[in-house]
Amino acid sequence: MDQDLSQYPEGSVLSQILIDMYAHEEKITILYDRTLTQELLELEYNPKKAELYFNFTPGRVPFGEKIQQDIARVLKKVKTATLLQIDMNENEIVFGMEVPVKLI
Amino acid sequence: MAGGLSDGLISLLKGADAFKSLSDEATQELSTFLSSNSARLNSIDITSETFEKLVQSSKLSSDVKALLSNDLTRHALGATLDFTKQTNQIINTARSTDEVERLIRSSYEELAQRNRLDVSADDYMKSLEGVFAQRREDIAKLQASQAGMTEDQARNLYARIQSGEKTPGAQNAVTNDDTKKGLFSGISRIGSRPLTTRRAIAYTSLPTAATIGAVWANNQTDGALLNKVVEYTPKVIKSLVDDLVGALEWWGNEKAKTVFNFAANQLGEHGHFDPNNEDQVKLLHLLSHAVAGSPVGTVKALAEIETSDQEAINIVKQVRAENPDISIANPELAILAWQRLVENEQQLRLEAGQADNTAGANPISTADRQGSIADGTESSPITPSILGGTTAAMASNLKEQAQRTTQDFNTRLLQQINDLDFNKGISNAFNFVDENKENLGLNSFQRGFISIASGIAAIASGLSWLFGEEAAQSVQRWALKMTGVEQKVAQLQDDLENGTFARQGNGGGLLERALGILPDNEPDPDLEHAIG
Repeated sequence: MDQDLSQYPEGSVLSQILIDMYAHEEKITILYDRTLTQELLELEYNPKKAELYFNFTPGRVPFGEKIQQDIARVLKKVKTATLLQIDMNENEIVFGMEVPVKLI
Repeated sequence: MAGGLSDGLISLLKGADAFKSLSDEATQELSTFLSSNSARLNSIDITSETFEKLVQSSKLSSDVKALLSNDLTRHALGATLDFTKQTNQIINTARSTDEVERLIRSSYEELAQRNRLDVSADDYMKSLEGVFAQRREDIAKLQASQAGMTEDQARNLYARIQSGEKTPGAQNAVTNDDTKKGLFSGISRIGSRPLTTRRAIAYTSLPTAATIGAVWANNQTDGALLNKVVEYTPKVIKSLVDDLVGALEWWGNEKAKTVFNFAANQLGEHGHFDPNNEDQVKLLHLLSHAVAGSPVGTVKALAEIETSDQEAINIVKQVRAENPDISIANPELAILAWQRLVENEQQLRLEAGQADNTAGANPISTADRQGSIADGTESSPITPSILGGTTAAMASNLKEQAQRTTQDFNTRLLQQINDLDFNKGISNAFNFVDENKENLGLNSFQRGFISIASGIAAIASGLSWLFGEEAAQSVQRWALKMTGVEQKVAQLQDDLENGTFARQGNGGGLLERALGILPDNEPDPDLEHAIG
């Protein structure tokens, strides 16, 4: 699956990895395609600006686009999000973790 | 009662598998103790509590005291003593043979139900049948004697009663049914209306209920019934002990079976495991039981690799004695392996000069780190490198160790187990991960997963020793899934099938791919429609 990541703002999460965020009922699940090399401390969400940040140990990395309404609705309510790493070759999930979600 | 209860307790102790390690010397010590205290043990007042006090205040060696204070022993002894006490009371107070039988049956049924014994009340009572018959004859003799009959006359009388014939003494009152149940069953019903005991005494010259009680009580010195009860009870209680041990074993076995089956399948698929190779099967059994936390299974698995029962039990006992706060369960081999992993990983990193493997300031790796755990090219939460180069040295050591004689192997295994410290091992693991989190590229949640997966990782390391690193990595990938991810995925799949998702991102449906719902690059129109 080839994706043109250059269309996303430089330095953003979307410009660097394949990532999908899912909202279902009261849950947020994020799938991504490769190992993160820094510690992901938390997700930070600004509901007024509909902006999401991935807060790594060295600093914040913006998601790369405004959060859609359906996602935002759930994102405002949850305390944590589940992140799952998918092996793109095998199409199988190889790792999972949960991170806190903080409203800013 | 010539050592009945004492013998019973010895029988109980020696009958339980967990106590087969009792030495002859200790058995003798215990036997002496029980015999010298037989009067107290046979007292109607004996309880598990008083027995415990008796044991603790004695001069028994610490080994024997520990044995008698073992939970299983205490449970079984308590049940034995309580039941014996109950039986004693029944015998001393019951008004008739019939009542003794009925109460003992009732008491046993309660005991059996409470402890889920697999010996039925019928079988239990059947075992006492001969004693009851003898008891009836004794009482018949006494009755006859009191009635002025000779012993032969009494015996004939008893025979006639046993055959159902109505007897002069019991005449109209004793029915066939009654005689089958016991000689005195119908005494209080002489005549057309029930009689009190007192009136029955007055009415006949036959033994009263009180007399009968006295007969039972007075005859306890040679009391065949009580002796028989005590003799038989340990056999019953043994089944209780076996049940308890069996339950532990069953649970451990179930877990171990899961580990074994998975590992065997995974290894078999990769050609690393031959189910017909007896040695491989035995060793995988051992690993499975050790990691699954099955002490009984571990002991048996140790026995499978030609560690004798005695040696295996000694290993377990020694580990327990020296690590009272931990069970023999999963820590021993798992943590042993884990500690080795930590040590070897540190060594590897020193050797490889991997002081900093971060990919610059950018926290998200790109192409150079796009490998995955699955193909073993990427640094993973439980890094393949842990099971990679470092395992070569470990595998070499362990193979060498395994090639030693069985005795030497066992000695070393014992030493290794003795050196174990579960908490320290976990602590070491955490500290190592914490200190190296940047190098390892782990976040706090990944570290959490490591702790959960450490036991499984140990399987992998063990398997790498046995079957090679590729096989170990195969199991390691499974370990990741076993640490909670699979449950998450199952939940997600359920959510996906039963609800509506909103999706945002650039992956084109990574979750659907993972769940096999969409072919690559083929969006599901329905799902897309459902996306907000």
